[in-house]
Amino acid sequence: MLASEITGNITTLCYGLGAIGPGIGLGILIGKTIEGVSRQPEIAGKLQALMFLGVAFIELFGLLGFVLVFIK
Amino acid sequence: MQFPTIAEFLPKAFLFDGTPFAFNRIQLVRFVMIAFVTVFFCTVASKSLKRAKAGNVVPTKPQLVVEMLFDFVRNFTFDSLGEKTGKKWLPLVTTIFCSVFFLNLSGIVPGLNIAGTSGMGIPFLFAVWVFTSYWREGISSHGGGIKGFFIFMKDELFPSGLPIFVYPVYAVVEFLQVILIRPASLAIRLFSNMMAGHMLLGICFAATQGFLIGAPGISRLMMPAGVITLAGSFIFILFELLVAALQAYIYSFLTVSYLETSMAHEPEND
Repeated sequence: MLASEITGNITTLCYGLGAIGPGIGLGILIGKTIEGVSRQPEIAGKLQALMFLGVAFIELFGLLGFVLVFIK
Repeated sequence: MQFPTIAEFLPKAFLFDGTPFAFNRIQLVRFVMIAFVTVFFCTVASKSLKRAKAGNVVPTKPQLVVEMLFDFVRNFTFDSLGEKTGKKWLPLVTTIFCSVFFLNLSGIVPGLNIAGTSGMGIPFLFAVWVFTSYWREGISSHGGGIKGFFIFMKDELFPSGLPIFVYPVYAVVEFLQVILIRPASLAIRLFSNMMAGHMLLGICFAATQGFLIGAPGISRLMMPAGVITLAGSFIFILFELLVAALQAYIYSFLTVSYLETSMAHEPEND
């Protein structure tokens, strides 16, 4: 199959690429939170709330890509 | 076998078609869930009042559930806003939390099968409410009126303690945040999360049907894959339950934190 014969919507591919960034971000964020909790278990609740706040911001970038897939 | 498409979220209106009151499946689901929430909370409240009047203060099981829900919201609201301002905005946060949670939950209720928040309407409505609320809070806590508005804008756009050359960029970005990015991101986050969840479930169910029962173009040797997608659909229903609760929490928690950032801070707190 020739590359020129491939048809379809390029946005699905772009969504895959766009998911890389938030993936790395979530990994760093959650890993650091676990690190923090294991150092200071007494502030686990506070760290968790902060983590969810950060997750919400990072997740948005992935979801924006998801929405853009449907816009043609 | 039919995979879900974007048309799932734009169903045909079956009542009042063509008028501004066009009524479709998602709206019906919303009405059902809101009716359920209203009736549930009202019965629990009236029952507990009756019991309290009779001198019986031991809570019933539904009352315990509702109180736990309210207590959870109250705790994180008071933690960041403080007692006084927290009390002022508690109705807003509680309403948003409960309605978003139950509307999300309708995505995994058999028979309803679509989240009430998977259309743009409800997330947008709540985002507008949050938007007006943090503007009101910002203006009134900085003194109110036109003067309060200017002090609020100065506090948001030009906070003291930044290097002078950062201000032009910071002010523009912060202005966009306050006017557009905050409410838009709230609405888009909730809406696309519920949409993605619905698509995921739909794909799992459709693939299970295709693999196990058979569809044109799918060989019978693919049957073991159907077992995996069947297990996947169970797991994703549980996952959707988690997402429903998490998104309701994030929506209301971000509401609280937006209110908190627009609040006037005492100098000694900083």
